[in-house]
Amino acid sequence: MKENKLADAIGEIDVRFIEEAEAAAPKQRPRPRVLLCAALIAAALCIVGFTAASRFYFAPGVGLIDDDSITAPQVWACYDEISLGGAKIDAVVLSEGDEGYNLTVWVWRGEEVEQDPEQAMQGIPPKELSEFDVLIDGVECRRGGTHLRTIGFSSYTYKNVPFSTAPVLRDSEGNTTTVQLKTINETQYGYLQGIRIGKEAGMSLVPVSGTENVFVAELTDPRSAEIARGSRNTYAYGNFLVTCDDGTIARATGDMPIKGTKTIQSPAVEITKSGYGRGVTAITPYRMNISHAYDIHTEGHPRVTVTIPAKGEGYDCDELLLDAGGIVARLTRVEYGENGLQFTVETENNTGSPILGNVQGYVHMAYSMGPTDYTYLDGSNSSHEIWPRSVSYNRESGALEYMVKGVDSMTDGLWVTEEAKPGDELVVILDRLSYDYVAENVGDLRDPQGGFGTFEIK
Amino acid sequence: MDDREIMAALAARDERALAALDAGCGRLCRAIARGILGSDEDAEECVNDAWLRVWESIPPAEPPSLTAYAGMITRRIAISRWRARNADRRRAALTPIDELDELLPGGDEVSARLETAELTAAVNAFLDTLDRDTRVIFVRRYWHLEPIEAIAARMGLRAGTVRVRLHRVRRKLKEDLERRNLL
Repeated sequence: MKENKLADAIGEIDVRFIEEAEAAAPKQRPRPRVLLCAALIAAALCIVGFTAASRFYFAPGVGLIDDDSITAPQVWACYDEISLGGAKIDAVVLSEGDEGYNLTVWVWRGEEVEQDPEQAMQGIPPKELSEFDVLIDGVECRRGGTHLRTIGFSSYTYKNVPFSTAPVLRDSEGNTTTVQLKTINETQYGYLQGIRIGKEAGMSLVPVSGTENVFVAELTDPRSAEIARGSRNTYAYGNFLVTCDDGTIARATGDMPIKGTKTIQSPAVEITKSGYGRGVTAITPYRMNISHAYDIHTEGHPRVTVTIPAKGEGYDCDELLLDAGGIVARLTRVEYGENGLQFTVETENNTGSPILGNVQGYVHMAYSMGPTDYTYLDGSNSSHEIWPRSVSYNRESGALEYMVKGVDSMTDGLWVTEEAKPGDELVVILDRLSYDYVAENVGDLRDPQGGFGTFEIK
Repeated sequence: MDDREIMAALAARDERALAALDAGCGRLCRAIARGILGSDEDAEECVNDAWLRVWESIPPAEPPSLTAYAGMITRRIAISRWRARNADRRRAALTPIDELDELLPGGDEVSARLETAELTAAVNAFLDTLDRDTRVIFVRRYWHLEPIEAIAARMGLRAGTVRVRLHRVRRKLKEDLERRNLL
């Protein structure tokens, strides 16, 4: 029987890669404008140049300011529901791109489009889905990306199209319709809103759907971006109370990517208050807690070699794990106790920010750099000089854990635990750093101590 | 139930764990099995076998991610069945496994030289060098064994772009493995 070791090897790759790929999967029923607006925000904020010498700050009422120049995103949209053949055009948005304009069309199909089973197996979409075009001045635009579903929302992005507020959409049957785009501030509920976070950071919100109370959010936070530089992943989660335009209080929670960092988050903030629907023109944060967390794991930060102490013993140390953005993390103790290997991380907050707190650092992983002995399921042993591999230590048992396959590819492998051997060396890096921005009671927006406030990006 | 609760239920031999496992991981595992075996019936049978393997292996196994663990077992069972079914003939359509065959041919000579764990370590190191999108494309093609068109739709790319990226990344992987004297 022909076997392929590489296929087997890929089957056993690190869980984090699988989780990353899983997280990249679309939701079963994507909200129509979430991804679209994320792209818009990214495009809009990319307009603002960032140099080491310049300093960003957010000011109420005037928008995002870079020294003396006021910048604003340029976005045109149509949120009117337009029928085209059997589909419904839900949203059409035009935004500035690198070499022209980008146009994205969201199409809703209420009835499932029939698909040939054989083609479905090969991943070939039905004609109704794949043949959807945009014409500007009679010229067919080049499609830059699609997100196709046989039922529900599909999206079509066209790159570097000429500017037009009246593009023509054409389906696979040749039906056409012309949509009228307006600047986003003119649309009923399409607007951008900014929230100032202290003196140095800000958050942009774009309503995605008035009926679903969903906003797309993105943090512009140079400090966090500096700390996260090179990190494998960042997470920022906001939990805040807001006063709505009708004076009532609602809770808004959700993920908000930090501009300039790697993340697998979906940038969606949902306001959970019934009746908070279309026509909303403003929300004001009342109490805010934004938690940041980083999977550091980058070669850009120090790596520390530690020696596993004897069981029941430990030793103090002072090894730098991170020094970025005014936050310092040090490894101060290594212990091999009843609960296994313990790495104590102490942090210093030198940011001077009155709203940044609860800084914590964690070490969850260590690296074994030497040869590895494998014991197979049939009891045989093998020793290999292998590439450095990561091992995790079980915080309850103190053992090192990793997956080892069976003696042949038909036999399942097992998670193997290996007693940590005193005297062995492990390499430690900072795995995760987290901190919160916390403040209550929005006061004067020009409060030098910071705090929160809203501003409208015009 | 979350992962920890399911594992606790498995440890207590509580059969509700299997229902919770199916609710949490069933969709992914069926998709993996269907992608390899090509039929819902075979996929269902494969996933049932996977649940049995999970039941038998936890405890003592304590995987850090139950979803990834269940997916890995399903994948392994499905590939074994695919190999058994295709032992004497090759399917007309090029599968992800075929693509890997081209990169690293099977056979006794290679099998004798390589241990899977050694290769896995090298693949892990290689994946760390890729940008996130390419890594996701690679994992979805060769771990999830997903059709190229489906990956393209998921990533908002053209199928041709995904094919080119996969071709490039396979070539890079080959070079990387050669550099490490694994090929």
